[in-house]
Amino acid sequence: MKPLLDIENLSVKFRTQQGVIHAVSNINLQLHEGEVLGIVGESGSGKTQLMLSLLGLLPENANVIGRVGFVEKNILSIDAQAMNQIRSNQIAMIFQDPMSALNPYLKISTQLVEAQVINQGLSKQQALKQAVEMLIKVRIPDAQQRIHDYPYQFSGGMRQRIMIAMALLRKPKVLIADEPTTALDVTVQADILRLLKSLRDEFSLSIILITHDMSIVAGQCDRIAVMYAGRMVEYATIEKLFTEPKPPYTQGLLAAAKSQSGLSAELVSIPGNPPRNTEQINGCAFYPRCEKRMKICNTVLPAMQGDETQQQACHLYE
Amino acid sequence: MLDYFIRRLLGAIPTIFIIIFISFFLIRLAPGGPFDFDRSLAPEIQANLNAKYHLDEPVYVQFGYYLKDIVRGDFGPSFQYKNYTVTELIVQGFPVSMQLGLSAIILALLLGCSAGIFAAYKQNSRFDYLVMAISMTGISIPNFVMAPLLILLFAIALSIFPAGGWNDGAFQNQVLPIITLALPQIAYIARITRGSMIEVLRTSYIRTAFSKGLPTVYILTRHALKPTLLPVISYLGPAIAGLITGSVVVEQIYGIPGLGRYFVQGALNRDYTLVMGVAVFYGMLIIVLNLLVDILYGWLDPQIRIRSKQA
Amino acid sequence: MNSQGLFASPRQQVWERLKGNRAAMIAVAIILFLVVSAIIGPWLSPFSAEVIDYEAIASEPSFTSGHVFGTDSLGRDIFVRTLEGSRISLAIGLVATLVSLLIGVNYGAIAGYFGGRIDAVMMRIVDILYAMPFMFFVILLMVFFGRNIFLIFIAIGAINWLDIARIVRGQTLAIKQQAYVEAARIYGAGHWKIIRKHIVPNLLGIVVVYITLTIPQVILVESFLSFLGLGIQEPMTSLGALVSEGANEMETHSWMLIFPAIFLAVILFCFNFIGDGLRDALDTKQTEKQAS
Repeated sequence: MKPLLDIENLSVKFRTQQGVIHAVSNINLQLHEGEVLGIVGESGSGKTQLMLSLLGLLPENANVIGRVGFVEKNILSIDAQAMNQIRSNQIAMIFQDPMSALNPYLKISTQLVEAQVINQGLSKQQALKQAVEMLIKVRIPDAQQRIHDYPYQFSGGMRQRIMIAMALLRKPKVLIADEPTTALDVTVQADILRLLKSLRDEFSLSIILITHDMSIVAGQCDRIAVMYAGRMVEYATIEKLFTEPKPPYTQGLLAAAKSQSGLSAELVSIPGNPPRNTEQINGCAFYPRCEKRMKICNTVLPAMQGDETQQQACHLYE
Repeated sequence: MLDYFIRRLLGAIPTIFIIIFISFFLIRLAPGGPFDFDRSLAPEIQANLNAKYHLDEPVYVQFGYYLKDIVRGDFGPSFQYKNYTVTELIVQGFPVSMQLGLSAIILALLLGCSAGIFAAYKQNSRFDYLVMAISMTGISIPNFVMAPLLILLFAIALSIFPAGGWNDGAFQNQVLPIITLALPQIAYIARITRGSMIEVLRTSYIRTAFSKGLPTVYILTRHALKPTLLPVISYLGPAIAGLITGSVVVEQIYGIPGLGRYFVQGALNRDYTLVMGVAVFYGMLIIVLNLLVDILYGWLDPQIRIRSKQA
Repeated sequence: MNSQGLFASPRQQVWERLKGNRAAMIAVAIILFLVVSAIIGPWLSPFSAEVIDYEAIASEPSFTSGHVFGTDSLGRDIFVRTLEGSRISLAIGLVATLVSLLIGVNYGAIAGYFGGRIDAVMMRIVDILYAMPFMFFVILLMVFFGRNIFLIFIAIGAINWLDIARIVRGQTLAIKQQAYVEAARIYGAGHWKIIRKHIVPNLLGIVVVYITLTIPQVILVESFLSFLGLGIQEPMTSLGALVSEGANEMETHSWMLIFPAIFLAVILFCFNFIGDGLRDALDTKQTEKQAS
């Protein structure tokens, strides 16, 4: 089946005063219709930059190469108007920090309806009506009254739900959720995740879920891509990843997640720190922290190898 | 909203009081001033002064009378212009100054905000550097340097505008003074607007707006404009103070019969009452205008407007 | 590529960034040059600031007569007078700034350090003073108490301390929260010791920015007063007084205005540029974007 979103060899580089930063290197990913794809990685792994590049939301000093196929087109090379159309009703993104992602000076009613009114030709009343219904669906109490409130009058969890509503009102095909629960309390997290699951079924969405938390991924995703230092490390179905994780990095992540959820006696973590992406790294980026490293890992970049259920970039499995 | 307004009002009153208090004591302490009785005066004159200024009564009573007079709008007679009271001079001079000042601030807001917004949108472009450089000049060159230079260029060399005079408010006579007054404010407002807009454009909520596929012009006007302009509105208070201070020089150089020039003449001629009166008048004006600016800000910022409603 | 960039100490980073700001560096060079000229210049010229050259009253600039900037209406050499004026203006700038620095830093540090009620009251006073038209009161002081140069120093210095007091108070509040100050307090260090050892060194950057931005403001105020005839008294002169004299004669003897005006404008320009550059260099440290 042809994928909905086909990311081919995507790289993102930033030109800065300190030199060139390689944020994302040679990513190949697909999102199939109805699928939930998880992208996992530590801070600095490039996962957010990857998603921002899809929607053309990177700053001026960013250089994006590669190809992203979506509905017959390469959306990296379309003009501004076409991109606005894509952002408006094809691919929607919700961001990490609901506290600052909504405009504090505008009522949420304005922010909920503007995209539909401007880009989809709805009348204000129609859009408002739909917005109230959506707010009810994402379980905002008193939606009819509260739609005229300002963002600061809502809690963090409610603001994230408003963001979700704002995205879904545009009826996108793809929803990208960047760490949707990281900034929220644990109890609220579960709530939001459950909400996403039910909405996905109801609106037949395809979702890309970005997170650093393996436990979230376990409950939600069909397929997972693991990123490290801007590169893809593993790309597998959820079953394969959790039962037979291959690269040591993935194994480390799983072990750390298990220990945090209390299934083992001590807290486990991967020693060391991820590299700062200021130079192009030869060989495998995980080399300095890898327990099973070999000589070749330091000099030769491992390529992604495997089949449709599991691929990994690791010299141990060549 | 009302609560916010009252709190601001209550804050302003002590300030006005202090200004009046300081003026009262300064004029009494000034060596060689009207209340310096080291030099002995003829008895009738002394008696007159005693009666008029209640000098035989305790100081706080005198202050009470002073306060009462000011509330009634009586600042006393001018020492310099023998037939006029200070109040009459203020009434004569202020409308002229106000006309110049109002035009200057409007000009400054229009030019400054547009330049700032554009420079921010095209950050680091040549236009941006140009705006920053010109605004730096506007801030650095004092108005008493700029005015003669402008006169030299436009009035003397090019003969487009008259070199001075008020001419009953004729348009050509107003152009150079207004520009001179406005220049530093244009510079400050441009910088503030630019800095503010750059920060706003970096925010998460503006990124959200772009991610929804909204047109850029819409985002700039509907999402970015208000948060950008709020710091500019805060600046209006100091801007007005700057205009008032600037008017002193501008009116002097261009020979404009406004309140600023009366003040300077009064200062040079040791017209104590005039100088005190103008200082107190302008002081109160600044405080009242600051109050209005504060209220405007509170009304525009939803967090303040709604929170105080609920309070 | 600056390989040291990410690993240098914060102070080094700031210095690096400042050096990269070419405009600011040029401004520093110009200021140093002007300061040096202002100090030693008058000695190098055959003319003195007060001596009248009866053969060259109100004469144009010319190299042959030796009066490179021309003479004023009394026959005094403008080049020397401009340098003298620059010297006085810069001196007032420095001294008055130090006065306001002294008042402001102490006031702000005390308010910020002790916090609570003391802070609230002290800041309220600042708010009230901020709203007053200080310029008018300075003029009043000049009118009522005469044009004493010490009075000028103090009056001008007293105008500007409000800004630095606010900034220092804000910084002090922030620093106070830091862990190492808590630690010092637990170990029993006295209040003043903490202020001296922990808080003041962290204020250094802000204070330097403030000094560079206040000096031009002060020079401006003094020039303003002198321009109106309320500042420096003869025979001393400042750039403001020179501009005032020059403005009176500008229709026929424009050089009397232009040279002092240029000096004044350049000094103000350069200080503002340096202050801006310093502020940018210090600020970028806090606004770096996060990669995620």
